[in-house]
Amino acid sequence: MENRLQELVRQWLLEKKTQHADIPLDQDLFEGGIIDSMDYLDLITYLETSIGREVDVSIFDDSDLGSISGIAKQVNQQLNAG
Amino acid sequence: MLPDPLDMFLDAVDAYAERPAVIQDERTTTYSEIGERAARIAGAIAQAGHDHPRVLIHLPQSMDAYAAMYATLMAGGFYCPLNLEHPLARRQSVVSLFDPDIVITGAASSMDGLSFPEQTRVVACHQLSSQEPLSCPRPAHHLAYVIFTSGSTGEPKGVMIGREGLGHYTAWAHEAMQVTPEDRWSQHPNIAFDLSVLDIYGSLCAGAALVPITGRKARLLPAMTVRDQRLTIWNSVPSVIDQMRQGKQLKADNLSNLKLMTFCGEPLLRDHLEAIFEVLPDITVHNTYGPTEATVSCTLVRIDRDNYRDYSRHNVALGAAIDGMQIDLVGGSGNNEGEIVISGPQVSYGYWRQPEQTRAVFSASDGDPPSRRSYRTGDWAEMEDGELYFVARVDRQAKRAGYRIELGDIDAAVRSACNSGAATVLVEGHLCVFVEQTGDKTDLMDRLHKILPPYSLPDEIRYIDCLPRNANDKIDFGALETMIRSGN
Repeated sequence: MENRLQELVRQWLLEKKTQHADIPLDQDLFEGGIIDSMDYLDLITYLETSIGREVDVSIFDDSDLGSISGIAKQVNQQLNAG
Repeated sequence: MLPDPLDMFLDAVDAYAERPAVIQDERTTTYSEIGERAARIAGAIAQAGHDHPRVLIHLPQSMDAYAAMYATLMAGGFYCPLNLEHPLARRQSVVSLFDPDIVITGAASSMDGLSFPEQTRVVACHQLSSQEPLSCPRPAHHLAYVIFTSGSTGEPKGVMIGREGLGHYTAWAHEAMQVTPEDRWSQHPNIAFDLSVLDIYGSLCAGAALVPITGRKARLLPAMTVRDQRLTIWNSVPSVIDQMRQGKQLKADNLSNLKLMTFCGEPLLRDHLEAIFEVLPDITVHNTYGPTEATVSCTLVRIDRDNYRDYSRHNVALGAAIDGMQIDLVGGSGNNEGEIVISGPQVSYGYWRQPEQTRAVFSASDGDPPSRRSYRTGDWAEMEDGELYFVARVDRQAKRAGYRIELGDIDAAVRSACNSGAATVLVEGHLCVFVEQTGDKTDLMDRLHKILPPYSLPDEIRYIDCLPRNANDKIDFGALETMIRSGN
């Protein structure tokens, strides 16, 4: 599931941030201004729609919420927690 | 005689010594602690031996940054806050233009990549435990701070704000916002954005607790801090309301302790008010207006659930000039429209080391009071039913087919037609409106036909996920123009 979530984040980037679709999994999306807070929340809404479940950003780990891999990992943890 | 902001802070330190001044990362700094911190930093500044030192504040939103501001005033100097999130080239440009005597930072290593003038002395505020505090404030300079804004030519302009103007504004804020030592106040804008001045002087000169909103998650979900820290006063640009909505945070559970939300920096929309009053029916909202050049803001309208319709067109009225400040509309065809000109003690002394740019928009009269300063804002406004409404930037007015068109009118028409954010740009005769949604463009164009005159109809509608915004959260029209020019 984590891989699928990573793919979903990439799909969102491909649609919304075309020039950044290829960035590495562990690169922080906030750095260099690739996304801002509104983009991030839009991405979360996109993931929620795609997986059919609500995601609670308030329990994300602050140090690991900015990269494709970090987002996928944390959303996956919430899915596994039921 | 206008109150001095440093006196107000020192009085608060005496009166509320053991009360919380700054709460950050679950650590509380009391008024006596921040007073001592400021005195130590002031001691280090004073040791450098300048009568009126120029102090660059190289710190993130934090207790130390606020203490460094008051410390600079204690040492008889004036400061420039730097936005540490800006790209290196922009930060370097501000450093070079400001040409500081002193830079205050956390650890010197955090300044990697920046080069400073040879005479600049670095004060690392984490290493001041053996520093003697300054025992008595030094004679004041007429300036309090210089905040750099984006200039239209690409080079930042440093807006010089006087200590008297800052005192005037602070005293107004305490009265208008009825600040008490029980208040717990958000600190959301970056310290290099002058909206933060309201937080830093509004709270810490009145005994209230200031709570910086820092950290990734707190910036994404600002209502979390409002809830956890039981904040009573919220101050930000209006688009944070959109962010709270997108993050499903605009809920009574999160925001129930707030008594006041105050907005500035970009148009507050009727839609924002409806969203707020739906969840917080008893809250008071302040809409304020003012450029950096007039010390944060100089108008106010108080809005509640019962009266908000009286103050709302597509956007919300700007309110009346605050006591001591004056607003005139000039250059319009009648008395009811024109460019906003602001006069009074809060008006800036001009742009730092840029006399020509200063002369272009500032003037000083020799009347009574002497040397009353005025500033031409470049904001076009109109009066309707006795209320002042922002229309557009003067530089967002254009001529097309012989008609004057307001790009802001087109934004407003699109917003009312589809309830989405919109921004219009005119590039080489091509009128394009960017709309924050997806949908049927033909349908939207049909609706625009019904509300806009033919010469104002856009040539093109582009749907965009999110309008680009600059570091101060304002719509970046330059970026939109570039998208058109580059054919993206």
